[in-house]
Amino acid sequence: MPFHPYYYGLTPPAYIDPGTGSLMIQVLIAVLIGGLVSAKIFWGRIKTFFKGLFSRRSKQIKDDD
Amino acid sequence: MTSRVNSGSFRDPSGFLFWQDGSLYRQVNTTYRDNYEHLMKSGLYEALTTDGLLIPHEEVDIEFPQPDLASNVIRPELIPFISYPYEWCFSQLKDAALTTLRIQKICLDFGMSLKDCSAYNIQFRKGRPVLIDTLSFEKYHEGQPWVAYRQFCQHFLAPLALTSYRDTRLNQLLRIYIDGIPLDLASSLLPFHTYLIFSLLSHIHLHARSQKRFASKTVDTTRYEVSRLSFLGIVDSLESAIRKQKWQPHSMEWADYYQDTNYSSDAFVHKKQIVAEFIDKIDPGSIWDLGANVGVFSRIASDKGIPTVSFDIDSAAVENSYLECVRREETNILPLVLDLTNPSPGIGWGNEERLSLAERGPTDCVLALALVHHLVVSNNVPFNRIAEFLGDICRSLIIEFVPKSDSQVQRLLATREDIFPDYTQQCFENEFKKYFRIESSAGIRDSQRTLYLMRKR
Repeated sequence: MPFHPYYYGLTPPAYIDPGTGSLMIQVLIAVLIGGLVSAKIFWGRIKTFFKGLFSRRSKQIKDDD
Repeated sequence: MTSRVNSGSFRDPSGFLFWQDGSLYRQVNTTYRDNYEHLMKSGLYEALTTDGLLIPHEEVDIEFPQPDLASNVIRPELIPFISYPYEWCFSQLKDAALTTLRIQKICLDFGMSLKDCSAYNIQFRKGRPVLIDTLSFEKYHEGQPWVAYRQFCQHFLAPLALTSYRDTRLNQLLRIYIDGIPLDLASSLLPFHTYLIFSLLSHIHLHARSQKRFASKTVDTTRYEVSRLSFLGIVDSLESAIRKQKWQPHSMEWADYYQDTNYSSDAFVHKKQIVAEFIDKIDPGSIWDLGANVGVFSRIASDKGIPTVSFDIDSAAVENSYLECVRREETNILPLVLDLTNPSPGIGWGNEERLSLAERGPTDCVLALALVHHLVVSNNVPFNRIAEFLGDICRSLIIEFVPKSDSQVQRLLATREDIFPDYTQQCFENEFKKYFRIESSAGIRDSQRTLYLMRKR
């Protein structure tokens, strides 16, 4: 259940009609885009993790030499 | 002291524009006070006005026109000429769209969001797009969807995509549909392969389907949230969609005009010199150049610091002129698309929400160069009707007469019967003298053409 003031009349109601169909597609696109952005962030973290891992290893090899 | 409410300012209960003693003011209503204070105190107003994205205003202490609703009154800076999206070329609409999205992104940093996205809220100030509706902002609450999403797609994305993938003349649909192009219409007009482009598939095609699907259904929309991350993602997605819209003019009706004229470079230089002298004599506060093409003569005026609107029927010529304006960072010229034989009418509620061309006048001076023969020969408009119309929209006139013997007129007559026995210099002068006083005239060297400086009677 959402709790932000938008749903409880604490902000003035929109004077333009956002349109139910427009809201529904927006929510669907938001889910898709939100998923993609999250995946991108997650993938970025994985890459950073492995980069860090490999750079530590190569540093260790160099130190051993 | 009388105040008159602006005829196009009534939809938003947050406030309204009104005229008083020749100045334009905006009443801010009490229902909007919280949002207005947040705009001013959060730093958003300063950030936007510093970047030239929002029209600056000052708070004034005057009598409220509607005191029972009023919180305060502001006086926004005045835009010299109000233009409408159906008068903009492709790049003007694209820049207006990108400006809107840039504002929306900045808003979110300050805890606000745009509550409407009408293209009519954008105007061109000193050559660049600016938001003129100071009451377009509302506090953003995490989870709320973007209420202006539909409006943005209808006002900006749909017309840009139609120009990009079909024909720039479809931009004129904005003149019929005051709240933007209906998405089902845009979807049906766009070519099938646009279904394969994710941004157009989602924001136009599926959006249109969704509107149709939910048109008669009652849905509890409060159950659905859009996270801040996704909200920003939608704005980014729209921005990327707008940036991808491109228009390369193919057929240039007038855009190559100056490479295709019959007069010599000497005549061209002389014509520019006479026009400059006439402008200096008039010393106008504003100029409308009708049939301006890419704005060569408009720039004689605008380079003198005179606010100049440069109208032409050819979108390609206006596009070139606007891109030049952006490249040179010009601040006094506004190129616009206008068919003078069917100029912008008053549209919207009571035909007065958006003003006709004549209602936005009169201007101090009109330039009508190499124009009259097109109106007479190609459009069958008699001299007296042209003189009457020009008399309604200006106080001074710089006009060129091109005789029938001129090869340009001969070219217009080549494909049609000459039914214009009255197309003579004498008849031209006689008809124009009914509305204007001829103050000066000069023949253009190395041509058969004459330039006139006339003052309204």
